[in-house]
Amino acid sequence: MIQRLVVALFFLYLLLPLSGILGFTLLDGGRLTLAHYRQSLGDGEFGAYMAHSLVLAAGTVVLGVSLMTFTTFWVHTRARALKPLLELTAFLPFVVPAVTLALGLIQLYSHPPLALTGTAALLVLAYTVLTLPFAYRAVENGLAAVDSRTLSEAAQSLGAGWWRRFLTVIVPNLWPGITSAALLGFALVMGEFTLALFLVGSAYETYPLYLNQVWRTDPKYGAALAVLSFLITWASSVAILWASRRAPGQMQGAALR
Amino acid sequence: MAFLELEGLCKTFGHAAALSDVTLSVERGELVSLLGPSGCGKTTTLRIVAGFETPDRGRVLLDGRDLTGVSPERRGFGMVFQQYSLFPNMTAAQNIGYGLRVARRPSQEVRRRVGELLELIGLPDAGGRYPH
Ligand SMILES: Nc1ncnc2c1ncn2[C@@H]1O[C@H](COP(=O)(O)OP(=O)(O)OP(=O)(O)O)[C@@H](O)[C@H]1O
Ligand SMILES: [Mg+2]
Repeated sequence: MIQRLVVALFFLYLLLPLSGILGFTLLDGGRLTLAHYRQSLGDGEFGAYMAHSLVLAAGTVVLGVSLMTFTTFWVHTRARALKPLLELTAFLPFVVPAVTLALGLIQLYSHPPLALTGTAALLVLAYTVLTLPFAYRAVENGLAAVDSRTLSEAAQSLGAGWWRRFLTVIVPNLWPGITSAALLGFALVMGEFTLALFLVGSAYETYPLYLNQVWRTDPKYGAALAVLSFLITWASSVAILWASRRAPGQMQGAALR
Repeated sequence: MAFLELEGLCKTFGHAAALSDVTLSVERGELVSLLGPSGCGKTTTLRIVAGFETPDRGRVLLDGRDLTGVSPERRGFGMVFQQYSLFPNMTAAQNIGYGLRVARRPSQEVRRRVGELLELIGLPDAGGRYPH
């Protein structure tokens, strides 16, 4: 009974703001309308900036998650002494505020040979740093849960080299953790504002920046864009989950036969 | 000289001595059991032979060849772990065939051998099942 109440309150807490914004966009002078959503169909900027955000999110997830999976397993098997250092490094992005990170990156990357400020590449790199804590936690928990060390040794005694063990034994067994890290990273990038504003701004405008800009002049359309952003991120997450369910089965055996 | 020779193996973990001066000769085809109370060093000995631990002192010789510095995947020793350690992401058949696939045997041979072994252990229909 108490449990149900808590769950109900939790959903209320989550859904109340969402239903508020939904009502705001669907009602105009007491009449139900989809006009504010239809507005996005003729809006070329909407598609372009959404595409920017999706590209950034996909790039970040692929780079961040593969980097962290690889590094964590490498430290786990080859360099155990470095583990505290990795743990510390992976958590730094949590404690450094986004503004500080942005200003530091601008300082570092605005002069040749590293003149990356204003490029999508720098934003992907910065987002990768931002998602490291999630990726690290997910991979580390996965490694602990499956006794990866013994599995790796079993494969090794059967003649499998490091890469082969990594790809055929470790990655498939870490797959649920890798998937959840990917989902968290993806959602984080889809909604990120500060770094996008400071590092790239209008040079590679992201969806949240566009949303903020529209919101100021046309609140109804801005709110509709927010709902659309929620729906697209949610649909993408479902797509990632779906793809990930099908992937590992095919990966083992076939990949390195 | 015997096929497998362990010469004066010593190993300590921190302060605890796990092995002190273990010497053993095993002939090709010979069946040897190591018996002893828990913690006496059986697993440590086997891990050194397989290459998962390096001895502090002593050598492992296979057919007269010193295995020091040879990585486990090149030694060609099979090892069954205390916790079974089946690969949870692979079916029974894929688990059995893993070593053969790593050794790049033709898939036809792998399939035949896996079938034989499943037959041998009395699980001819369980090839497609997962360990858990
Ligand atoms: N990685 C390790 N770190 C520290 N101590 C270890 C480690 N591995 C083994 N030891 C210690 O070395 C000694 C020998 O252990 P080992 O596992 O070889 O014993 P065993 O004969 O296999 O025992 P059991 O019958 O319980 O499997 C034990 O005292 C054990 O606590
Ligand atoms: Mg033991």
